[in-house]
Amino acid sequence: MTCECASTELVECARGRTSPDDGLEAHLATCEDCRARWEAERELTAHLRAMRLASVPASLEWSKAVLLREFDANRKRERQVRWMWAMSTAAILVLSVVAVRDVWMKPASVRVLSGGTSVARAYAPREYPQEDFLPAEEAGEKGFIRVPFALPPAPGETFGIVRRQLDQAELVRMGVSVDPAWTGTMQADVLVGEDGLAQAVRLSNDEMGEN
Amino acid sequence: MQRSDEELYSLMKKGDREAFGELYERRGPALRRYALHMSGSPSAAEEVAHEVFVQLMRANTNFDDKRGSLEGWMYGVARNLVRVIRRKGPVEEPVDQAVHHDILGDLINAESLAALHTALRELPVLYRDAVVLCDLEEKSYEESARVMGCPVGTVRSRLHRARGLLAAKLKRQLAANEMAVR
Repeated sequence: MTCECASTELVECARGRTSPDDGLEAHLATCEDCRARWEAERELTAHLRAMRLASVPASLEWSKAVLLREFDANRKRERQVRWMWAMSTAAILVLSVVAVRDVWMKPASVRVLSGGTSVARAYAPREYPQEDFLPAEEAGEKGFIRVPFALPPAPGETFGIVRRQLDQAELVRMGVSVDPAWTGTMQADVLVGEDGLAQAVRLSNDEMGEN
Repeated sequence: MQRSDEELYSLMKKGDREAFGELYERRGPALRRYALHMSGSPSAAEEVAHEVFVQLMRANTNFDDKRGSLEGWMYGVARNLVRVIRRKGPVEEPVDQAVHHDILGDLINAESLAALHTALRELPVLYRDAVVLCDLEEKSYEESARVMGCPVGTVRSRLHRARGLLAAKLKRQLAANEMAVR
């Protein structure tokens, strides 16, 4: 047996994984270097064993308790994050539905005001003082009649005027007193805000249809 | 029948704290010993073992059972943490702690144990890894190879080389201690 073979084998023997065979024993009996290595390896194994026994952890239960507490806190945090995600998703969905509905509804309201052949012309938007909008009984012939339940205009909000023919029902909705027997249409300037909703109406004297 | 580490991990991820506790009891002490021998500091070892489990319980743990065992992953994390701690600066001396627990005092005195600690700390990391896993943790070459992520033959050769270096360092250390006493 060569020294190289012996050194590989003696490490395993010293570690207690195998027992020295005859070949190794014979080599150790004749080779002083390998015998010294053998002794050193055995001594090292004993030292390492002592070291292993000396390093037994002392406070396992305490560490475990600390980690379990962290585990519980972590689970709680994860649940909160999941809950927040669910709520955010729900909020986004609701907002999306509202936004889609608004986008869908807006053209409809515009259609009501600008639809048909009755629109004669529309003026460029500009600001109108809120004080100009009065109830029907105070507005007079040339004044703007405030549409009931219309929200007050925002500061700086501009209004466009849409001229169109309004029938009896539309005039009533806009707060104008109408003779129940009258069935014709009347030309009116509808003041439309930036939100697309009517804010006020001004009647002209041109009326069509029957009285 | 004992559940595997990976099964316990899977249960733990679903919120089973008992599974987490069992996993800690199974792997915690060995990880702490490993970190102690690799870092040479009991407090660093405690910190490392704790951090391994903290990382394990995080939602974005990068453990993938298709790429290796959970045990290997844990040792890998511990090894990296020890490296980070050692890079920060010298760690405290472990001698007092080791001497305190020395139950083979009659056979091996505290001095030689301290010398062994010092010699082990001076070994290159790859060699130290081999000694700690194979000799101190008593893992087989196959288990150590899985943990170290290298072939079995490499583990064996590293261990043999490491033991040779360790024996020589230990001998020098003990001789120096003896000289100092005289």
